[in-house]
Amino acid sequence: MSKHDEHHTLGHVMPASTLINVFLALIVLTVVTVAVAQKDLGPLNVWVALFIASIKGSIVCAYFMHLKYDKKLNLLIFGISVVLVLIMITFTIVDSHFYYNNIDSYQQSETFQAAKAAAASSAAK
Amino acid sequence: MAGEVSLNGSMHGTHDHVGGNYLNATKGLKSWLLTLDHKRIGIMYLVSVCIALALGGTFALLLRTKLLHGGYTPEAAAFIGSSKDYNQWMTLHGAVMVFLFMIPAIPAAFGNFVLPMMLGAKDVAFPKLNLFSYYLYFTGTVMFLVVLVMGGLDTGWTMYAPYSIVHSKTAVPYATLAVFILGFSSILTGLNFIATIHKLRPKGMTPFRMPLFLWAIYATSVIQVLATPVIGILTFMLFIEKIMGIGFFNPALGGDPLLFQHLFWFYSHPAVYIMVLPAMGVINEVIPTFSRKPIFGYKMMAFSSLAIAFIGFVVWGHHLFVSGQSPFANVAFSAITLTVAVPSAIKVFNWVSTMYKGDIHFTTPMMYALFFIYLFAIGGLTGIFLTALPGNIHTHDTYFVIAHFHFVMVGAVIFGFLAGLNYWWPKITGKLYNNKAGVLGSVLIFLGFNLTFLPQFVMGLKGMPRRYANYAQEFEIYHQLSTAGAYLLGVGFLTVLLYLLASLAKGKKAPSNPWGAASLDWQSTSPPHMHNFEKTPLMGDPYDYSLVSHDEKTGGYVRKPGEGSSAHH
Amino acid sequence: MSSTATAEPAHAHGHHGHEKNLAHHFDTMEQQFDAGKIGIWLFLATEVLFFGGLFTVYSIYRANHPQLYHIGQYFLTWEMGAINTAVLIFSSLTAAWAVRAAQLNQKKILVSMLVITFLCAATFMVVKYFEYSHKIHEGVLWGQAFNPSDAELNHVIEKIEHKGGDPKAIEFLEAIKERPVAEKKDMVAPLQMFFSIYFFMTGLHGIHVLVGMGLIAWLIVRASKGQFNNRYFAPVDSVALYWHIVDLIWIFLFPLFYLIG
Ligand SMILES: [Cu+2]
Repeated sequence: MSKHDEHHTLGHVMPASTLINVFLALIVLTVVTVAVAQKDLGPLNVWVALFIASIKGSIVCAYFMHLKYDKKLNLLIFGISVVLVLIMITFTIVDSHFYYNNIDSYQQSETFQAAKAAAASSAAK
Repeated sequence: MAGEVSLNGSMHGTHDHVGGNYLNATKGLKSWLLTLDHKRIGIMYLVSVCIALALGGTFALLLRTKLLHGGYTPEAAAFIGSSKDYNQWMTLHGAVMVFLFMIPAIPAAFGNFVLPMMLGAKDVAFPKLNLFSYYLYFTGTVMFLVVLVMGGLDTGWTMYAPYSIVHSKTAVPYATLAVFILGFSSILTGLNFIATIHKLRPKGMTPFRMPLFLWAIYATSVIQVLATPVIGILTFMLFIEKIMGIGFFNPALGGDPLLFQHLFWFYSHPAVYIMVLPAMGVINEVIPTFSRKPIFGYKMMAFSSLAIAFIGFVVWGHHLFVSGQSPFANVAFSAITLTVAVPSAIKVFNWVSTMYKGDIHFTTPMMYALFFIYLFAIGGLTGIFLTALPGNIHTHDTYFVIAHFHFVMVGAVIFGFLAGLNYWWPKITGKLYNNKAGVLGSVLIFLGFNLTFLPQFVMGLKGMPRRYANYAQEFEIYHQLSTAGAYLLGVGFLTVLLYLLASLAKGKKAPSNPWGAASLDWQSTSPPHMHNFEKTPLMGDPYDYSLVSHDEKTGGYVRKPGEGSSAHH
Repeated sequence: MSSTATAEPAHAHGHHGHEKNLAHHFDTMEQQFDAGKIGIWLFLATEVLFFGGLFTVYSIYRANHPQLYHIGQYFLTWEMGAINTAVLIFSSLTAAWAVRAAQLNQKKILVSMLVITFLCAATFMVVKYFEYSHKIHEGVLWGQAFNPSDAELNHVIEKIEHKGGDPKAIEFLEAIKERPVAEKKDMVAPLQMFFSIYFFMTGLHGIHVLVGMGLIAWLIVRASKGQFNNRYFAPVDSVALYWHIVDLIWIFLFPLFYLIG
């Protein structure tokens, strides 16, 4: 190992100005998301909130967490984990629309009401 | 930096200039319990998973004994244990085998021992974390013993809600905690191996010059890291739900039982590949070594491991075909699952092609490898029956499924594990074993395995449901054959235990490279030096068997000097 | 590990003898640093999937019972959530700055940044404490324990009216007021799921904050002893990354629970 390496700083040093700018951007986006939420956009509410949160999340990853300057492998690891969560959510949501009426109708059903009454009476004894 | 106090005395400067091998370099119980050496940690895992195998096997024999007679007469029903006992044995057999044996067996035991050595490295990337993983595993195992004492478990290893949270009177909270802890052990092992493979490869060992065992372990580790957290959070939710009266998965409280199954199989299907991929990795080493031929289609083998890992993440719904899952999801999951057959078939094709015109040595590890291909082919093909929706609806929750996954997954792990154990035994212990006894053991296990599970295919197709303590008379003959097979399997395992113990007691000293393998791990002494290698090993193609030549003096093989560069990091 | 020195292994270690924080199985500090980075990022990926399971649960119930979230949101105080968001973002800034200070060998700045981060974490937990204790007091709880007091229901109805919210929600809440406990519990059954998920997710996040506080305290001790420098700051870097992921999860939790109905 050369003498030069001995004093070489490991990793990427984030400039102070960048850190402060990122912080300000995050605060501004927080204000925006609160302000937008005061208006009722109907079903768009969720998507707008998620969109802003995703921007905030990406900024945190890129600068505070150094991902923009890091080895690409780390970005890949993190990206795959996010993609897998999205796959998990999408598949289960799509599927749930098909079967949810069964759960709701179960709760209205006589079977369930009878079972509940039986449970209540056995608890009372 | 001069003049600063060293915090990490153990990390710096000491360089343990120890003599002798890793087994006798330091002595005393403490030197084992607090060791950071990957080889010793590997041995601790090896002993632990063998105990787990014995425990799970005992439950298997109990439940098979119970099934010797159908319960169609009161005398037969009372033959051994009650139906409640049966439910416990069936559950504990599954849970112990899955969580305590199959998941850690090959990666944690052999992965730990062999992985750094195949890289010519001194240790895994994070030795302290490695020891911590072991103790998490140990704690999880103790938790399972607590489960046994606190009323057992009768939910099936899947712990499906709402039965597990509403009706079961057994120690479900302890079991969920145990799975949670074991999950973290598995995650940290995988994390460690990925970092090791990325950063501790010697210069010049590109990813495609690694032994394929490392590719398999790498793919396994990816699954361990990315899938296991989901079962972690799921068991945690189950635990909280049980003790705090929440109903995430209980429809009576507005919960969604199918959501449990979605999350459960999001982990537990990939977990199947956590079990099977490392076994394939072992076979990848054993077959070329004993065919004296380079592995056929190296890159296809490497990529198929990764492909299996990634496709494995998006097929979980095939466990929910009759659970009320939507027709759309059924079709999608069925189609994606079928694609797993492609990389799996590539592997079988390549193993067979490797042996083609090879100089095949019927050593004990090779016997297991050959049996592995047979089991995996049958298990894989019956998997296609199950993936196809119509076939699945006919055979869902029957013994056909039991037989299928015992062939494809359990058979793979057991035969891969035993292949690895017999392959690396001389390296680990420095002792040779009796090859004739080894072959006999492998044949007994193979016959026992077939006798146990082939009849289960038949009775499954005839409609015998899984997990029942009782059955109609027409199934009795199949059950009796199966039980006989289970006992034969037990005899086979005892044979293995006996000749390995005999080898420990009075086996001949093993040469460094008894099999003539070309990967780096065989260039260390047997057993290896505390820091793995006394001389920096020489790199080369891990499957180029012309790099080694037979040495009359030791009875083993030696690396030809001068060929290949040193494995400097 | 104890050592009894005898034979010297052939590839001697002399060539990297002067880096004191280099573990014996690594060859260079860069290699050790990169390995540590891969390790911590893999750990963060497990955190994403760990919480991902909970976000799945959240999404399933939200997609199928949007009305629960619509009403449930009014039981939460968004101002508290917003304060905590700002506090966590600020603590993320100081955590990132702590890494910078370590890389530049600025020991004093490093220690003070870590202390500020710790204090922010404590502030977050204090706000959480007020939120939780109010809810526990008013019976706004998880699962079968959900039994909101009439005062709380009146308060929530007022909030909905003030915001010009859904009259059906007001009707629903009016109906369950002044009922015997057993009957009330039955009627609000679907609503309890919102709070089960709320307490589970924010509770688990809170546990992560507490763990983070422990880790930061440990860093403060080590940093004030001068154990970090531009060649060795992996613990600061790793804990900071962990802290950012805690912040990141909150960035999603805040709008999902407090803001959108
Ligand atoms: Cu599966």
